[in-house]
Amino acid sequence: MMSTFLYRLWTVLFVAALMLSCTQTLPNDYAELNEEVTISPDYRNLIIPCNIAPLNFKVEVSAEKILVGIQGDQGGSFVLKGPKVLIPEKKWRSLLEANKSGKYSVEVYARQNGEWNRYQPFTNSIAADSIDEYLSYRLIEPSYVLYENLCIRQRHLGSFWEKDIYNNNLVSEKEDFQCINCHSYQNYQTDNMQFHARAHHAGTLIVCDGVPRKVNLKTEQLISGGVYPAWHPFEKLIAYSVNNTNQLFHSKDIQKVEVLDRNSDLILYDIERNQVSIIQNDSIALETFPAWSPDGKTLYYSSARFESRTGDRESDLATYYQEIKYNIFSVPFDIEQRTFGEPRLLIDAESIGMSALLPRISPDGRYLLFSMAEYGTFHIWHKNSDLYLLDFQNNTIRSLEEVNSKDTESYHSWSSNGRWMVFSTRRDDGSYTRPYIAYFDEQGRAGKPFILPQKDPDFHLGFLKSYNIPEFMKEPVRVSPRKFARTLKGDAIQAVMR
Amino acid sequence: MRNKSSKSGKKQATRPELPAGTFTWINISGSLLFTLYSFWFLGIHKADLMFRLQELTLFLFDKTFFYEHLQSPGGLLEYAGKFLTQFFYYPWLGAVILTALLLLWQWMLIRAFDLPKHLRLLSLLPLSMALLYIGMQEYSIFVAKYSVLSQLAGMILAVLPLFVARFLPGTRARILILLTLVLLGYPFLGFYALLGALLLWVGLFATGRTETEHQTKLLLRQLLLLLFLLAVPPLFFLLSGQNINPKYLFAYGLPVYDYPNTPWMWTALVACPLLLLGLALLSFVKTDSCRSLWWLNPLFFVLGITFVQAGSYKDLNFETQLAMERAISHNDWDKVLELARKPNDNPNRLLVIYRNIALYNKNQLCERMFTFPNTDEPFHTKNALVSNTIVGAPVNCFYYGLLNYSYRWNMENMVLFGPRPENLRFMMMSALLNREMELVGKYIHILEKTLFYKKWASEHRVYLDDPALLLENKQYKTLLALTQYENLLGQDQRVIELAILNHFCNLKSGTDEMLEWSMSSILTTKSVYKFWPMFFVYVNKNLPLPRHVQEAALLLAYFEKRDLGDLINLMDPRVLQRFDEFKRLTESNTHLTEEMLAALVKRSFEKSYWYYFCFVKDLKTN
Repeated sequence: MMSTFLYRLWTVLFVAALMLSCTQTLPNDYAELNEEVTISPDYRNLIIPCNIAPLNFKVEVSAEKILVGIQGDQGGSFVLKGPKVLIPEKKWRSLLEANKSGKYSVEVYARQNGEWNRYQPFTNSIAADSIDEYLSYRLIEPSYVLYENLCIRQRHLGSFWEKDIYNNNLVSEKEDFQCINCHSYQNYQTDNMQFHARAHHAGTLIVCDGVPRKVNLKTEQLISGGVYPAWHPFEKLIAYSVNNTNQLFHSKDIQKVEVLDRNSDLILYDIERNQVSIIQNDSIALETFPAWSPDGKTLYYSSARFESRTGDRESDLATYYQEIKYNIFSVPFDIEQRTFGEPRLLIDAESIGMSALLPRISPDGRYLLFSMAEYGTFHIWHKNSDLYLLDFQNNTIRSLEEVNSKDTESYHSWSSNGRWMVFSTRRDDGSYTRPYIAYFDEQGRAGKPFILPQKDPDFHLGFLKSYNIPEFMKEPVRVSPRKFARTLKGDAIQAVMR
Repeated sequence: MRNKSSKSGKKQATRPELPAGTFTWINISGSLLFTLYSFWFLGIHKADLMFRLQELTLFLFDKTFFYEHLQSPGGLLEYAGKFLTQFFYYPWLGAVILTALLLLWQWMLIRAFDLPKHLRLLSLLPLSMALLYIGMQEYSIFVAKYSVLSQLAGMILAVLPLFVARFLPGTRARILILLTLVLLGYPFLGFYALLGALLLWVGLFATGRTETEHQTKLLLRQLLLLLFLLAVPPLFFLLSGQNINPKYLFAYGLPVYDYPNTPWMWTALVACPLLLLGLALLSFVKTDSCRSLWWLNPLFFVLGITFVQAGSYKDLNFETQLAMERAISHNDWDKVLELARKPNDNPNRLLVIYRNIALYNKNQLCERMFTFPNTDEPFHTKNALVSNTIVGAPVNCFYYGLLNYSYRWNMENMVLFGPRPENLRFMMMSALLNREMELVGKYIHILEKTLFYKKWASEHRVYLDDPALLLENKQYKTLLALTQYENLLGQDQRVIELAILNHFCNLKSGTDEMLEWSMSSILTTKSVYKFWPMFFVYVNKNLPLPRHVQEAALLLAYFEKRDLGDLINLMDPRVLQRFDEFKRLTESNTHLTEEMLAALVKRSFEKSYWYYFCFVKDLKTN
């Protein structure tokens, strides 16, 4: 009896001591510093979704001890130890719930030379607009030619849950490796999605109504199989560019790589009929990066004209690569007849000496977001690439200064409610692409962008892969990686030309 | 118990009894000698190999790094292998640790397999297979995805359960260990968990046989256990959700990707499990100590060492390359030249490049580069992944000042073989000289998580705050001087030496530092039409004419019937005199075939540009 009592007493005391040791209180006696604290990632003065994962951060000041107080305007507060501030998910969710449409403030206290100092607090706003629950991306080294361990992953944005959609290890063999790329979804749903596999067990993997199939889109008439995809918002149609791509290397330029299309055209693939038809195949024009309007009646794309001067197109491309400037076009689409009208020049970037790529229309159809740099077709390698916004309502184009940095901004996607955007940027180190998320308000202004949160605030600093093609999804991909692998190991259905 | 041999034969009956403790003495001496041998082998004989292995193997003291290694079966072995490899930054330290582990393993083997005294040094054979596997490493190390020492970790851990089981009474406890090992061990140890379980299974079989267990019951139990052992990997595949390639389900933890076209590299890896199984099967044959078989232990010792010595990869070019690369890591260019001077008639292109880089760093490139052999011996390996570009480009391009190319090939290597300290170091230095400071910070951050590159990385933080300090670093200052060229968009076609030579041959201008590389490239490629413009850059800048430049000028002027005029005064009289001798020799032997003439000229002029220009042909500068 006595021993049981002592054991219980000891347990109670131990738990109490543990709880006490975990409960931090902010110091009452401190000096106020007139400076902002540096934290990494920079999660200061943001507008964040009401359903985002904890924005864990690291306080970048040297101190004997760091305490951080997080307090919501409309309730909820807790104190955490630094320098790595790891916010418990449950507390974080309560904070966001209690302060939806409100704010929370962060106070950082640092004990330096035995004295407590408080840095200027910062606040983040919590938008009532939620963000799509999932984000998918390919993880790949910022590589040049070779590839090996590749995966397309999906991440739950409300937590740190992350899982493979597909991993090429499932089919890799001794000397046969597989490249995977260009995942895309129909209208943020994953029952209709696609990605490509190259080299080993090559083919385009298309999931239609939840059933995966492998298709070979390359026909005799086309220069390649499908490359950059765009799902029609509601029909079983995918517009693709077909590209004959080449990669060249700068011997000195800090941008290091130039990806060039020798040729490129646009095609439409009718999934149900397994038919491919040509959208654009001008031999001089380089058409690429198709994107549908939300009503499915217009297809947008980028196109540049490049004529060989010497007859050696390959050599000319390497010599005159800086003269390749893409404009953005739109072409009407008759959904019933499945025919396209006459293309219309929408953004004449060439006239201002620029190259505009990756048109993406906001879900309400009002804005067109695109990336623009001085030349070329692959802006992820162009440091001066920025995001630009065309407002169809007043037909104005502006640089999205709120989100741009001195380094690359490239691939971008809208959330399904149009209130958030995710884009690829190399602003952190100039090499490894990271997904940044920014709020987009009803007036067409973007908030300060923030990096995809991770459990460990140092994660992005140590991670040696790039996040490629960040795409929002409303739901997770349900087809298992193994099912994808089995499908890829099977024979491809040969698409036919219409 | 009587010794069996004492019963039989007149001759043996007259043999004097071995004194008590003889086996102990033999076994301890054998183990100690093997320990010394192991230390010598790892820490001295193969020191360059082990140093290179650690440069090609990254271990980070980081939670994420640990979890990354648990993504597929056998990952824990890879983690352990990388952990051990890092200590070979100081080969003697790595050798001490590994030798201690081997010694521990030997003790475990003796206990686990309950080896009788006259067979105790049989335990050295698995150890020798582990050493043999290390010794067999050849050019494949540059394209390997698995840590070499992960196999040693696997072998040790495969024996551990059997060793532990010896201390547990009863069959049930051993069965429990087997079940636990397969269930919990497979995700971490892969193949080696199955091997460990198989060893236990054999042990259980042997024990059951000798005990009064019902034979049918015993067979049924063993069959069920075997089925369980075989069923766990497929079940794990079906239930775990891990992205496992079913093709390698029973081979995870083994270097399945590492030895294309070189199946003999598996010799030691196959032999070791077979030996372990052999030792386990010994328990079927109850073998008591047999004094007359005292010679068995020394035999095992000799066999073990013979296997390692005879089976280890021996290749002069490979060994020289490893030694040169180690010297380059320490910026010890004198050592590189010392290695280049060692007799070797057929160095491969990588050795030629390393030697030239060393000569350049000693300001002797165009003075001495043709005094060494200039050959193109291929890599002596059947591994098709090994190429000059994959192996050499990351380092070579850096020392030629082609920073983007160096960065690229380090990145390509990282893509293929995972991050390595060497790649991270060179990417960091390339980024530093390119003034990509955020990127430098990233690589420093990662390298600071290593044990032995931490200090080096931290020392580079000063450049983040003040990049101007780069010019105070002699090495970086020289390299920066090599980067004063116009950007060019192109491709190296994965033929890196040719790309480098073309780069320097085609330079129109540049710093004095670049001039010597340009001239050496022109001389190497025999780009006659580019020689004179570059020659006159030397003359117009009043730079002393290096010996090979003088030789080339005399030879080309002779062929082109060009009058050198006053330029002759810039030549060394000894070079002029030798050239006269060269002319006389060739002109007086025009009747000889080219091969005969080449052999004749080689005797006196092998170390001149004249011989290289006239008789060294079709060099494969890949």
